[in-house]
Amino acid sequence: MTIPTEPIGSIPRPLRLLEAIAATGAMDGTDPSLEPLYEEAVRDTIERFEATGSPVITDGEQRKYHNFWTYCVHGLPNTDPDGFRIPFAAGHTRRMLRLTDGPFRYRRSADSFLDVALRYAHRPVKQAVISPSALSLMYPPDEIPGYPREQFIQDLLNEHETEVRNCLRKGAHKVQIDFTEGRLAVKLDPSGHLLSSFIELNNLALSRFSAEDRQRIGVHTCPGGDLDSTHSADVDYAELLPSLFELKVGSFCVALAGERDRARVLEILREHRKPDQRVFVGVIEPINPRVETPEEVRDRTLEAAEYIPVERLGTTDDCGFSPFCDDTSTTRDTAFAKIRARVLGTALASKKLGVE
Amino acid sequence: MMDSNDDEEQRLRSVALQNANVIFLARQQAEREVAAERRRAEEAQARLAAIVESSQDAIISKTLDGIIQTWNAGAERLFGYRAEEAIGQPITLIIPPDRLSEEREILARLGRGERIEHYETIRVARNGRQIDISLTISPVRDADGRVIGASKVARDITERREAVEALKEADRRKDEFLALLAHELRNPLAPLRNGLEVMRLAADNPVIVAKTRDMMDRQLSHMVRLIDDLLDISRINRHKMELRCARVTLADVIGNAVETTRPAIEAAGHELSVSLPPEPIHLTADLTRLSQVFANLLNNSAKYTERGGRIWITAEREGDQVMVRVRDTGIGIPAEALPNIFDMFSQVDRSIERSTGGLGIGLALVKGLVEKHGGTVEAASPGQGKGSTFRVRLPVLKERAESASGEPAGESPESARSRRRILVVDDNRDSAASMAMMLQLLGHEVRTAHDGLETLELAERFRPQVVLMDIGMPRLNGYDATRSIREQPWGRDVAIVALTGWGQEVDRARSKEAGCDGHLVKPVNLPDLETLLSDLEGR
Repeated sequence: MTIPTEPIGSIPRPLRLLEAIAATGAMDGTDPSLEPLYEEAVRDTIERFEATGSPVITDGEQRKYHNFWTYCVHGLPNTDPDGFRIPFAAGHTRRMLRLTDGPFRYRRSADSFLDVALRYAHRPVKQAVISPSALSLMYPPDEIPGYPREQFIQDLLNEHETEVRNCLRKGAHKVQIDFTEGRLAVKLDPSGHLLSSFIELNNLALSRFSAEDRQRIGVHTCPGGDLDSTHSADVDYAELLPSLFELKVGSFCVALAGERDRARVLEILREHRKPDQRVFVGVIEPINPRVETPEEVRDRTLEAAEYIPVERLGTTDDCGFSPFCDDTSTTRDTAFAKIRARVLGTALASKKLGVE
Repeated sequence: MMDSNDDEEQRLRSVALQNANVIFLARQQAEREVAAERRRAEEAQARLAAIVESSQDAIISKTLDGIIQTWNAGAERLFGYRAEEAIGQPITLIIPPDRLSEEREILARLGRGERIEHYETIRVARNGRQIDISLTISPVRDADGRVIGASKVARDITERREAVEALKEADRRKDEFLALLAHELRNPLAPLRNGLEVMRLAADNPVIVAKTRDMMDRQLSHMVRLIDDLLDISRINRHKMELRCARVTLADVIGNAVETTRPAIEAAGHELSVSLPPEPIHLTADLTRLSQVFANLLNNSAKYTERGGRIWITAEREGDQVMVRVRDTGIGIPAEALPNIFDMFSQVDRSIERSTGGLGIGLALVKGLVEKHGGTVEAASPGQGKGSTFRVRLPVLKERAESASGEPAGESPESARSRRRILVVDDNRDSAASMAMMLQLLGHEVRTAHDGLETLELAERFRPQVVLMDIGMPRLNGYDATRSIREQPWGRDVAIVALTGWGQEVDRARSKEAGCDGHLVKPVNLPDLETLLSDLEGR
């Protein structure tokens, strides 16, 4: 039994696909003419993923339009594109959708992506979904007439539960809840109340699942990664991690490779991780164009093993390689090379630790 | 941050915090629901546990490897192992070695998710006793629906199985009895028909006619006895038999029985010994019926003892009871037949019964009659070929009652037939004459009267000890005639018995109210009349 390793999710889309999407003009990524290109992108991604030797793969989120956050609501008629702006350190922003009317329903669910991926995959497939806390920010500051906030929260929980349950039922190796807004919450509200409320909301959803199901559910947190930039890397992990481990899931994917003081973060992880929780530490920096060597990965893994029992340790990437579909800052080749380095480096660490 | 737009950051914070309030409330609600659900689940579990524990059935759960996981009080009672002894042990603990393959088959079926209902088999208790049980086995599934074990409900069906077997046995005996009944009832018909033919053909030959008539009388008597037995046992079973109880002596009872059975005993060449206590033993009994008990027992001894055997009938006083033993050197009773010897249709050896005639209800009749008299009867035998003993225990009348009666001790059966003055009253002259003739043949002094007034005149002169009083008569009816007799000084102690065609309770009540001591329904047969006279003895 080697140290497990798995990806976060997204892989840069083929340029041909991006060009075709742009050419449709509709900008909701659902034009029927795109179907063959999406299909080919998924097939190629899975083939190349499996070629890296990664024991767990994803579909590279090729069909998530427009991004990991809004894929399920993009194109809803009861939304406006003038939601909140998420500022990134590089100076650009990403804008959320705003709910204009009830009821709140997903337009598409991640399990539909899983259906396609499973047709091509020969390895276990992991499926990422967006957290309820991230989508909760769609409701406007002023109450929507006839659709109270309480009802919205209930609808949101129901939609999320259905999506996760379908993914589990259809055979996802793991369902990963993307919780990148955790650090952002601390940034917005240093008192920690906002983060607590996010944790509570996500736990409300998770408590609808059995303990066995929750072992197949994980959470990913990172400071955001888009166009080689982050939105909350300046927030201290010490503010986030103690609350993060309150989430009722079996595993956590925690960005670590890009942290300035990895030892300090590992110390915090050691202090706050619960005995039955597995931590996949980030050993690859997607926003860094340089491809890590397997030896670097090995050393980062060995370093983590000093803080986390090896039977509770795993490796991953700090973030997806292209959470927003139009992010072409990293090439597909680089992404797969980095993944291969992670797979090899983790194997080297396993060998070194005697857990092959 | 936030594109340096403080307003936007403020709005985002506002949304998030408003959401937080809602989330907080939702969490509280969810926690309340979880707590309520947990409470409901705990209550349901407690109820279920109570049901399981209080069940009379054994309820056991086990893993798919056959390891016992739970064991309720019913299982403790049925199999004799305490829960702490059974839990953790393989289920083969209670499976007989020759049925181990059953468990493999059951586990295979459970693995396929099948439920097994009312599977009848045998399990073994701690003390080695094999128990007939009915098993219902259901798969136990985990949260994902996987079969992870089984629950077993085991019910002891030993009693049910025995009851079914008993019913089958009773049914079999009934069928045999019906076949025997048909045969036995048909048997006398052929000689009777032959007899009629002989009498027609030899009507002018008085010797042949007399001989034939005797033969027909024997056959008819036999048939009447069979039918009477049947009717008696039917009356006893339907609680319809009424005893005519009176104060009798055991000697009379035994004497009657001996007298009745002596021909059969002598015909078989048996030697009969009768031994009774010297002091009189008084009983409250129906003389005819109780005699029938001992006659049946003696008949049985005669029938089931090889020619030239010995039969004893002895009586001993045991406190408030008397025990009468009827013992013989006959074929005996196998031990396995003893528990059912008094059941209907029970015959130890039907071949003998067939050869000697009978329906096999004699002992059932004995038991029914003895119990009607407040007694008990039991049978014993050292085994086949070693003879039998029947012991009848009956309650004895208390001495106070005996002395109050003023009856002389050691009275013989013959004394019941002592000469008495009897007035027969009937407006039907033939009836009166035939009754008078019968009573005269029995040794009594008899006069007849044919209406009420004649009765009073004759009674005044004749001073009868007994009056057999017809009720419906011209001039003065039987009730009024009785009242008039009772008004006379000499008439107060006269035994007056109503003799009528009406036998309803209301008729008996009316005759009693008029002053009658007894009530007989016409036609009156000789034994009934003798019993009545015997009952009136000592008045």
